[in-house]
Amino acid sequence: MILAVCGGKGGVGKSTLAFTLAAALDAVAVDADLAMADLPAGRGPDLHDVLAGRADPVEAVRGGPVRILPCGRTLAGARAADVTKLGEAARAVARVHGDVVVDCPAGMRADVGVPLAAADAALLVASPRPFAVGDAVRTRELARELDAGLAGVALNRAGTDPPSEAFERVLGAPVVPVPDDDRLARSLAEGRPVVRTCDGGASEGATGRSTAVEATADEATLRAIRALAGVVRDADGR
Amino acid sequence: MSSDAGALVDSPPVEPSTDAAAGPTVDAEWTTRVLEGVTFVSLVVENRTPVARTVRVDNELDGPVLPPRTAGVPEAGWDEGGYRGRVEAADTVAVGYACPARADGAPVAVVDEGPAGEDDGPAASPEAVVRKLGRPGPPRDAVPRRAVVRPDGDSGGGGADEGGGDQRAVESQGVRCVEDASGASADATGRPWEPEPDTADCEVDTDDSGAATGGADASPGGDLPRAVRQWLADVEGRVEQGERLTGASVAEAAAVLSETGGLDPAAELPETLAADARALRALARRASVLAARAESASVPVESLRRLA
Repeated sequence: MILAVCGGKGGVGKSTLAFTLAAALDAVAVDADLAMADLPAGRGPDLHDVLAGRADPVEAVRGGPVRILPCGRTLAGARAADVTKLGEAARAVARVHGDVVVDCPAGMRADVGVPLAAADAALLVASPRPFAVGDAVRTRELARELDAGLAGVALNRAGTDPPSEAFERVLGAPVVPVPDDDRLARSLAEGRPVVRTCDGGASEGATGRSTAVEATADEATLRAIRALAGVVRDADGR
Repeated sequence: MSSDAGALVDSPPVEPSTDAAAGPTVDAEWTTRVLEGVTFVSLVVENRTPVARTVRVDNELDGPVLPPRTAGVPEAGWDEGGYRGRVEAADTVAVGYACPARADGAPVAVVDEGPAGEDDGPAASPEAVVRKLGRPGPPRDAVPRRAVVRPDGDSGGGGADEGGGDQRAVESQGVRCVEDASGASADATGRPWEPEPDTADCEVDTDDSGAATGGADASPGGDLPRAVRQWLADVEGRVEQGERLTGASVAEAAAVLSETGGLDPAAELPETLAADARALRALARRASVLAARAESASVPVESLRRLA
């Protein structure tokens, strides 16, 4: 399955949740933010090279706590990357590695549209503020137009009384509030997910692909991540 | 084309005609206009039947089809040879393209390919997505670039990693060090990924003035002074650019020009390459002479030590 993690606004936590969900689903995280990459990178070929025809997408996947197809950091690389190849790259990775979580950039340009067109499902990440609804609706419309069903909505950094019902009513998809957890936010920069594979809702660690690499987080955060993973699996019919 | 009267290079501006190749079901009228050696063909295809039909328009001019584009992507229906599209029942469709060739005779052949299916609307292809949403890459002006393309090939043990201080400033994460300002200079050549050498290739090169001022500090991992490596890499980039433009198709040439800053740098390329060739030959002569002298010189260190 290819899951596109998107949302109109920048800074709502798309990359953090994509990284975390990839860990929870034992999926490969693809950093599709071509101009402003977020996911950890390392040495070797990256998505810029893949989209410029210089590298094979499968070979560009890195191992680690979370398998990642990282993105280059240069503007020149972003400019040279052919975004039309992004869908095929994601499919190639999915054929070999199984599930793929694509971390989409902010906005509504083709670097969001192409992953959505290739994706089986989309997960919207939104801020629990009134103005975020409009962005979420627009992104859902784009996903719908491109045949990526909306698996669910993550209301990131939700406060004590998140407007889940309002979002659910407007967007027509399950809404999962994710608490504002510093450790979750830091996990991306540290390259350590707060969960390991949580297969079928089992406790994290049961089928983990790595040991002693996950950061700690609040129990509420872990519950939210498991719920998100469950929502994605439901959308995929598993 | 508001100023077409002044911009016309060649007559005739308008040549309406009826295409004889089309069957009785479909009729086509075309006009051509020549500007700066490029023929602009406009075409109105009429479906005379009561059912929607698929129509093929083949370019008959002696040159490549330059189709209309949105966000750099050809409009739906266009391919290298022409256009295929749907014309609704008793309706018309207007299409147009450019072709860098003389217009002699009919520019197009229009073929009726039969009734169109129920829905041959465009699927959500990546090209359609780009047309609709726009290309996401940063504009060319936003990309720090050198005057010329530099290859990312390995010119002597990590030599290609040097220089490009302006570019390095952008690489805040410092994870890719062979990425250069040209970005795609080598990708179109199909060069496979080559792992970076392990030595000294991830240093943060903050506008090293040594290279700019011709300093000859050999950095670790290279057996040539940095300034020399830098110059050779620059020359190699220009040569590679020239090679890519030699006998290139329109699409390839457009890609190269898009990467390297448009026509102006390319226009200077022949002269620059000729100068490069002269300099390289002079360097080769000088280098071989110097190498021979260096090898034949024998400093009697032991004798000198005894004298000292």
